[in-house]
Amino acid sequence: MADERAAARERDALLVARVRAGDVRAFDAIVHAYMRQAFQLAYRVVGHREDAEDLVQESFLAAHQYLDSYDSERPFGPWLMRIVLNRGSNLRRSRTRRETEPEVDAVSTAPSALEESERSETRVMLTRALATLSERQRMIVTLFDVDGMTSSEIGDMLDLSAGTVRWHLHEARKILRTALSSFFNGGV
Amino acid sequence: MTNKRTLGVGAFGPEPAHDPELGALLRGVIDEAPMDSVNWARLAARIGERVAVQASDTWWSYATRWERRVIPIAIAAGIAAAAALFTSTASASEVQRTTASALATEVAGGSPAEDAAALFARSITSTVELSAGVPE
Repeated sequence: MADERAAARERDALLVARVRAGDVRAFDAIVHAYMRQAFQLAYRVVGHREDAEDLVQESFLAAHQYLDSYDSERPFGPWLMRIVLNRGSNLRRSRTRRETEPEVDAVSTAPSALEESERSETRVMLTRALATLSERQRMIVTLFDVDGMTSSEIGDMLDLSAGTVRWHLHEARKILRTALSSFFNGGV
Repeated sequence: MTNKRTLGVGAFGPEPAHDPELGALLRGVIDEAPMDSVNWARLAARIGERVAVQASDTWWSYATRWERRVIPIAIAAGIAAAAALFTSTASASEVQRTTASALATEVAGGSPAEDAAALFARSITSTVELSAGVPE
């Protein structure tokens, strides 16, 4: 894992140097390396596929434009993800969510009426509990427990120490587990 | 351990394990990113095209972009400069009066004849340039 990171960092440094020297094609390689990760994060922020694609595009353009301000001693990925997060937060504030067809739920089973009722009750409780979290806590618990990222990966992305991420994660989980205590205690 | 919040519980321990139970519940509320429904090749091509356009922005493209604003500003600046020049240029009679006065002061002050003559010549030359254009 550490070797992969070191290799990625070395590759990124070379690519960035080539882009700075005027080789636009080198930026295509950067795009291919990071667009999936950027999209995943963008989708977490804006919650809509098309908006997320637009956000990814704008973030790469901004990264290219401000590449001179990027410190080559630091990893490129987290720098790019911070651009996605910052631009995404601005976008979400300024733009109302597009009213198109909802994202299709990939899993389509037919639950019983009781199961559906219990599930929707849990969803309501969880949605309410999530709303009480700060934006940062919500992002951290989602990236950690849904996307499976590590605290240091999240920390790099959010410009926080891994310890601070773990503390936010602890707090977020505590709030969610308290709100869903009936579920976790076998009630719902 | 009276104030766990400020002591930062969780911060100093080892990396916590992922919580599959909570993760599953969260996935029920938060949409998973639809990675399969994105046309990655098309997205990459779109980004590449925009980056190429951005990279080809040269200094004259910035000039073209500013053209519409710069021309009226330049015209306005020209008019203002002409007006300032017109109001600040001394009339020929004023210049001549000043020249004669300066010459009289030099002579009365006991300056050598050559210095007074040189001063007079310089004054005449500048008077001609200012009030009647460049001499042929």
